[in-house]
Amino acid sequence: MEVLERDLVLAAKKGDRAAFKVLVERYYGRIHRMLTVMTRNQDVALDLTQETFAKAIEALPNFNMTSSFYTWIYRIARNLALDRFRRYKTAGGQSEYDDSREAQVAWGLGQTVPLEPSRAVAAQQSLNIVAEALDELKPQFKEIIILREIEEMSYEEISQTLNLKMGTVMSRLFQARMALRELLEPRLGANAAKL
Amino acid sequence: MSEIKKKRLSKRELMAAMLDADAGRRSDDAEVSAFANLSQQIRQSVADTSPPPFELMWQGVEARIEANAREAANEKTAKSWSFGWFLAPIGALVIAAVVGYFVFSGQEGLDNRCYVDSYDVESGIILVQQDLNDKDGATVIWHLDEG
Repeated sequence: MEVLERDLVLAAKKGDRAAFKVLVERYYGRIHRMLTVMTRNQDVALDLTQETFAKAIEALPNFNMTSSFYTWIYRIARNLALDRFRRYKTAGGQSEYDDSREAQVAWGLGQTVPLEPSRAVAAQQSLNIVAEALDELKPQFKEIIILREIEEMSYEEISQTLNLKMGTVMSRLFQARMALRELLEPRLGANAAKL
Repeated sequence: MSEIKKKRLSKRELMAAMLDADAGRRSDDAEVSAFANLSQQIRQSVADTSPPPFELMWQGVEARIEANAREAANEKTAKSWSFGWFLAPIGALVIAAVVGYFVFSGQEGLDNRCYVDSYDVESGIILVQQDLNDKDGATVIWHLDEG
């Protein structure tokens, strides 16, 4: 029988490293996937994933369990990713927040991850185009799309995770999707008809 | 999504289409289908993103936990040392002054007003405080604990 998350979290809060490891095993795949999409760099994503759980174990005594463990972990991962992005920006000497394609790619330190070709070339190209377009969105748009489409969260879960009102979630998601469609339309050519 | 369609549909209608797509309603509507297709394309675009083996990842987490703990311990020690270095010269001067007072004012004689309390300490700094302009004043011995 699967051990309840609440029991695991309570045990981990008391310093039970084995319980914490079970929680990490449950969620590291989702966190890593989210960070890979955010950074487009698997090395950076792995680094941030490990840092997320190392930070989490330190902060665990302060976790008040008002949200789900995953939501809490997600916030840590998100903040670390944004910090990494900001540090990169600061190191680059740019004073204004830049969400251009260059900056987005640079967030992953300039090494985009080629997606493995496991489908027909044309289909794969379309998917790469989608992934690249996703990179070009503003960070807050990209994030909400990741939560909805990749994390498959409900509006309510997104609302809790990002601490936004439901109306704001819908509005932001709408804007993000429309922005993505605008980007994809000229690039997908014939396939754009579906969008 | 055609230009004609974009111009024809209002923002409210597009938003309604998006909500319907997310709820799995009106799948025969072109605009609803467009949103549903977009979702599918996004999901497929990251389908090949597989996580690293768990044990490999976990080893990295444990290494970081230990490194963070070492760093925290080093910071604590550094703070403690810096505080000690700040107080040590002051403490040495005060002790030297107190000892000097007793040595060089021996002719005045010592009275019996000496109150000694003792307790065990495992760490910290002992500071002897004496106002040299007030020889009748009490000598205060401070124990400054760490942390």
